[in-house]
Amino acid sequence: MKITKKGIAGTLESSDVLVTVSPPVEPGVTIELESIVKKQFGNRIIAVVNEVLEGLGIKDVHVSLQDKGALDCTVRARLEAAAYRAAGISQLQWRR
Amino acid sequence: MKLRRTMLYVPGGNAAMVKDAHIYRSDAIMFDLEDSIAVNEKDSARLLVFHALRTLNYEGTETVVRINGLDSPYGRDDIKAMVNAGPDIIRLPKTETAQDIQDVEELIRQEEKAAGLEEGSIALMAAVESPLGILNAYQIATASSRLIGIAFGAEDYVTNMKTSRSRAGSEIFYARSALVTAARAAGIYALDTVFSDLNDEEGFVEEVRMAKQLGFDGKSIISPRQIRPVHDVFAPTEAEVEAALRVMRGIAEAKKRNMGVITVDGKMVDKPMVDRAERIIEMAKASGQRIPEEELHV
Amino acid sequence: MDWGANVIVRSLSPRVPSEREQVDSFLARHGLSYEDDIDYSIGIFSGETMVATGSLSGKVVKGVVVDEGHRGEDLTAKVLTYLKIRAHNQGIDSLFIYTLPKNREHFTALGYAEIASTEEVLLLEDTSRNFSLFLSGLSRLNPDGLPAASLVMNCNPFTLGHRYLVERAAGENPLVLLVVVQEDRSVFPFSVRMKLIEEGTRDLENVRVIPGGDYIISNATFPSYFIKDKGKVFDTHTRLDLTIFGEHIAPAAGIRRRYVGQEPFCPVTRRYNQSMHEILPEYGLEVVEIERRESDNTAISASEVRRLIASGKTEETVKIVPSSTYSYLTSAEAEDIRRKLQGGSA
Repeated sequence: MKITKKGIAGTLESSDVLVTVSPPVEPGVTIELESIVKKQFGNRIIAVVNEVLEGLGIKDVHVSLQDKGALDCTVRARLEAAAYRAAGISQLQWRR
Repeated sequence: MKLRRTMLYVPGGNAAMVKDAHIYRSDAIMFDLEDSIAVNEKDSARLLVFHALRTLNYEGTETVVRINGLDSPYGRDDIKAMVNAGPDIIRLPKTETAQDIQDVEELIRQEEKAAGLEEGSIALMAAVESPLGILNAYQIATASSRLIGIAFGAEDYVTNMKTSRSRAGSEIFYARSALVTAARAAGIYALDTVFSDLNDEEGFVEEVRMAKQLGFDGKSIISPRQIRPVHDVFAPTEAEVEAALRVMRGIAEAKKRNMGVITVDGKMVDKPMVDRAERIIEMAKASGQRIPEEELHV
Repeated sequence: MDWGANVIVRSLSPRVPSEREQVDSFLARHGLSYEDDIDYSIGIFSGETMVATGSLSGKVVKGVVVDEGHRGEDLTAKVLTYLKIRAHNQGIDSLFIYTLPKNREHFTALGYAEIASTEEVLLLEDTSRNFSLFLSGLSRLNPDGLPAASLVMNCNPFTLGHRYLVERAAGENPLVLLVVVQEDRSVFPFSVRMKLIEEGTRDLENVRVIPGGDYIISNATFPSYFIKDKGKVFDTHTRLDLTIFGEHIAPAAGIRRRYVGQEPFCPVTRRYNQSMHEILPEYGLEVVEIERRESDNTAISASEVRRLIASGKTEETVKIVPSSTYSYLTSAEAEDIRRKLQGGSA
């Protein structure tokens, strides 16, 4: 999937995460994470992000997350929503 | 014997509520993708509910998803997503005809097949919110073998009826009765409409009592604060529990002695009576009453 | 969680008097003033009563207030979310907040990163990436760590006075970093000002011209609604601006000196220069003040250029601007600017 514009999804409310997906400045994946639980869960969140990007076939992207203690499934959901919005297509992949 | 005394409404776009809704121990939780979600957030809420259902353990609380109707641009995607997410029930809003149910069922069936899932893995519920829907209640209630219940939505109904809601509720009396009647004739569940004034606790309890008296199995609720009052109203009295246990004992006796027809308390025991007795015992257990194990074997 | 809190979110436009009034009076009730440059506001309502609000002015978030009775309901987060989404839809990449230092934890918990702070004010941005990129960009301009001099200028437009200043700095230092104020609040738009500066300094090999980005804050953008004593606004802004320069910009670029032109006319600029003398040495920086170059016994200034254009005497600017600027001022391209100045609307 190609990221051609910016997409944003989620909220800054407790247990949620605000994700912005944008075309990258240089090729590859860059992730920027601000999180209230960065020390404990930072690596975990980044792992989830990488997993989702791989699953969607996204190789070049900048992902920015403002996390308020979201669970993995919430990070997944918000990242996918932002990514689909950024790619300008609606979801196709429900069967997993 | 599934209890559906309370169905807690959860806006599908709210991450905190979606993950925690089951901790309040309502009988069912309903994730909403319809009226509580703004048009430009439909895609995001659908994904949030999808992932939550696939990942989180809701610990025995029944999961329901209120999808958007097929007359909206979102209904089809909601169905595709939710069949793969696997809630227990899909609830269709603003159901007016049996055809509405059949159309949804067909789409569900197709997606189940395409995804390699067992057919019938997801049940259906219909919300009836208009005069036409009320008039068609029985046809709706019997439109599909997947349909396990119908719920009444008073807000839209009352607008359609060109009136407004009152405390006494005379303007929705017929609709309520019609809905319960249809549900009973079809052998499925009936859920009453929401009560929105969270500060009127007395009025709420009154309405729940009335709903129970009309024969409703439960109520749609909008806040965890409403769970306890509903469960209390639906909790059987000691006398009711005792009577129910007598029915169950009578059946156990009859089985032991290979008897066909039996009577308990002077009444012949038929299936509706047994169902009622089972329901009462379930509700008693659910409200924390102790039922000795040996009483339960039939 | 807001089960039963039943709050609704509404966008409120400053151009609709009744909506503007709602925000204004809510802020006033909380002891804050409404700023005129607000583009967009969010109101959170419980029934018909406003319980929280926040506004945007370009990239700056202003006036985020939650009613006492509704604290602890995550309403600040809700307000910031809606403002962020609006900014996103406007193509705005990141948001800034100026607030009191005591609110630091509140906003860092909401994903904002501190840019700089003084005793009176704290500046945050909702990403730390942009500032990092800006600073590393500066640092790449001076890879050998030469002791650099800097100039921070608006140049509305670039004159011989500016040229003189740059020449002096270039002659006295191995490297000069000329930082251009990017804020587009001048008659000459940023792109034009940049172009004229670049053309006017092209022959000076040790001069690098850089946009100041979002981190050189003009007084026009500095919000003051939360500063009780309006007399202190200018100084508060100045100190913050110089703190950003001294703490982050200068070290990143290896800057040791800051050159400024003496200011005979504008009291505001004079005061700023004075603050520089007081504050920058705290960061080990030298401030070099150069007297203005004169032409016919009057100091050369950008305001004089604008005045001449405004009175239809554009040709007379030939004495006080370099030829590159002069060709622009008299060109067809500059028609709009000339008209604006002559119409008296600047």
